[in-house]
Amino acid sequence: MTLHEALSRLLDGDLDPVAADALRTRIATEPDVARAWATMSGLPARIAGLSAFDSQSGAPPVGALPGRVLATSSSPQVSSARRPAFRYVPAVAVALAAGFALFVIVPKPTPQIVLGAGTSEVSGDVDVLVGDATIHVSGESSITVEPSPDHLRDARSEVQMDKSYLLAAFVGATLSLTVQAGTAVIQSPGKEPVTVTAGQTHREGPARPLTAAPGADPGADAAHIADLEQQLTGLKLQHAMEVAQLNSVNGTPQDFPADLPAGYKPAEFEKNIRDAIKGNPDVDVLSVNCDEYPCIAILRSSYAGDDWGQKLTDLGTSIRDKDYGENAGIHEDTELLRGPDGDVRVMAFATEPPVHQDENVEIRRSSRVKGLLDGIGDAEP
Amino acid sequence: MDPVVTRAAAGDVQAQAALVGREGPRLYALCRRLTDDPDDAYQEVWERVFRALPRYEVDGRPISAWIATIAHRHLVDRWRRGRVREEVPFDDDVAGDVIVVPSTRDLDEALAALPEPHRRVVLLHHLHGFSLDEIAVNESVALGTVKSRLHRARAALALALGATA
Repeated sequence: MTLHEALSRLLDGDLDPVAADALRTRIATEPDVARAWATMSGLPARIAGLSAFDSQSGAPPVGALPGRVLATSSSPQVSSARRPAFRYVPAVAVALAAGFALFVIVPKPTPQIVLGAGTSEVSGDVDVLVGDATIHVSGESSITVEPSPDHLRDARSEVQMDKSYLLAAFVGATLSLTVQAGTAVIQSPGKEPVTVTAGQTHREGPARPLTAAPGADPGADAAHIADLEQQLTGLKLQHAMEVAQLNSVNGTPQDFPADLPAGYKPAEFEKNIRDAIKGNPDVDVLSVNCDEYPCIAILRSSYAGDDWGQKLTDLGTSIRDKDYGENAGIHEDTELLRGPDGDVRVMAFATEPPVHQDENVEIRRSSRVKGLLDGIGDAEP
Repeated sequence: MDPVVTRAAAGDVQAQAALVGREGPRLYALCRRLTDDPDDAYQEVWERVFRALPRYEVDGRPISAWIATIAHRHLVDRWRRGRVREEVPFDDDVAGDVIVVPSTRDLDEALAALPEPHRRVVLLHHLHGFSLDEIAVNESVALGTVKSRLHRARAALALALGATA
């Protein structure tokens, strides 16, 4: 134990009486120890004082939380069936700022909302932009956007996109608008505004046919095609960047190394796990996933004491120590999950030899563990 | 019960927004001090809070402490997901290496240099008022482990801050 650890224990009364008396004597007689004690004894108050700066923590505004967190964030109110992705915003925003400022510039009178694919509930007095169409909502409306067959992005992607990109991607989308209260006015280029009132549904699209209208100006068509080609090139590049971004988060599938010791290979790994829980009535094997390297076992505990997580991790550590040795890497992730049949206490367990452990393996393993646990139930707070 | 909490638990969006506005800065400060991706963690904690809010019961504990507990457990989960356990000794209630924190006058900097499990204990105990028992339960570790982390963390902080005092 270092001097400072001893001082910390003295502060909390965690030193035995003899050691405490000896340390107090040193504090009284040795200036360096007295200074260290002064710093130590002032620490709790100093740390507590950090709360004074919490109000300057830079917390994102309420409106920055996506709809799935808060049913809606601020007026105008929008709740979307699609799951927006908040977490990739910084990287994507930087990429977009760097490379795609050339995209459609959209005037943004307040308030405006840009929608992509899916159904959204919109309320308030707000302009909703979809592709090159504008819907002015006064009241409450439900708007469904179906991408055109020519749309250029994977609508399932969770990467949040720049609004101008979103608009470009949904030119030609089909809109379905149902007004629950008030009115909504759809304005598409080259068309008369359509007013939809409460109780009515209106379907429109594609907003901009890609075939030339009779009598269209060939020069304008050529410019339009050139514009679309430019967008297509940019969007393809953007797609590649999004794939790279997702790979950096979700990792890429890992093959089982050819020289992997037998214990880490699927058959023996599963045997080791099942052997280890024999005689332990509180634990069973929910699944063993060896689709990729490394194998991941999901162990379930029927024991619900406060230390259930510790017992599971102790079990995992004992498996590692017994079958793989203490130098093997170990990943143990305990979660209390809310499944369809009630609470489930689980641990994801994986082990890797040091020579086959790297950042790619770790990223991919973490992503797989998350997927496996999400498939069992929602995490309990 | 706090009417804002009651309404937020019932799904009142304005009340939820008010709760975020009221508790958000403190929660974000915690996320900022305990993760390298505070925006992501902050969003995930609020997701958990609003999922669990209908089950919130007043038992003498203020809503801020209840939210901090959810945040604590979530941040532990995040840390465990992102780590191979051996990188930071988990069961470190035995004497281990001294944690080296660069000398600094800035408490925030010294805290940032601590291993995450040690930083969690010292912040939750001294800044958020958690008892060591509560921390042990939330982290699913022994009380001795929590105490060991606290003492090692404070020793490192005192060394870092004292060296330039």
